[in-house]
Amino acid sequence: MTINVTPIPRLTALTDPAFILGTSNAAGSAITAVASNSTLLAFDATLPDAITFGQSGAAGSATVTSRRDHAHATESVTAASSSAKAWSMTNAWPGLGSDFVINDSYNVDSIADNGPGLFTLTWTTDFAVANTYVNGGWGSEGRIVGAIYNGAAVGSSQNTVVTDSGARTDGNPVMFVAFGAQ
Amino acid sequence: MAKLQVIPNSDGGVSIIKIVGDDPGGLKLTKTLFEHSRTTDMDTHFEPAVHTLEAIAAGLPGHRALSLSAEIDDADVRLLDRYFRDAWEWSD
Repeated sequence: MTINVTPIPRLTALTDPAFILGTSNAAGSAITAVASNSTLLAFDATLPDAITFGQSGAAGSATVTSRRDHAHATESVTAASSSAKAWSMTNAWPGLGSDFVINDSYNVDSIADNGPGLFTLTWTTDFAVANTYVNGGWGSEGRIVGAIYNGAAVGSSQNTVVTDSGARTDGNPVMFVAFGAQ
Repeated sequence: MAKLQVIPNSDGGVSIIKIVGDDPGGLKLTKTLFEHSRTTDMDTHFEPAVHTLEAIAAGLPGHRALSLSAEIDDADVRLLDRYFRDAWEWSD
């Protein structure tokens, strides 16, 4: 007995997927079919925007999504004018039997006690231009004292700490903070 | 025991320097000396390869020649007078 095999022609033509990514489900109208191992357009290779301080949010309108492991660049703190670039808190008058203590600091390599009420701070990361950044300070020994900014090189700044009567004093603590472009 | 560095001021006084944190390579101290040696140069950024302790001690353009006077312990400044520098008497 002879068996004849007659191929059955495929009845359905497969086409490229054309699914649309959206924010809600919706029925399509195409009467074509796709294969189960088709590739869907879900991602793109667009570099996400760099995040800056104060940047506004946006819902976006792109019709593709970012990959789960995508990453945004962020604005460097050195470029943000609103961020403090250096600060310190020092017990400038050690008191009896105690030490000259820097309690905490940021971007400060050293603090020098140059004399009564006179301090020089050396920055770890320099500022961009001398005398274009703001450096202020204050202290307290039961009263608020002010700090006079004497001038600043790119890598250091000298400040005088004074009482409300203008006399130089080593406050305890003495705190400094600096803003500006680096 | 923490160390403090002593350098001469241009007015004849001295400055007491506290280095923040560790300084195994001495870079913070070298930069501090570089900054304290400034006289007219406010703009030059510290370059470790160029601004060495030897170069700072010899004097750089716009800077005074500067080197350490002494290294002392914290305990050495545990004095009664807050303005202890003015009461110091030096001995070798």
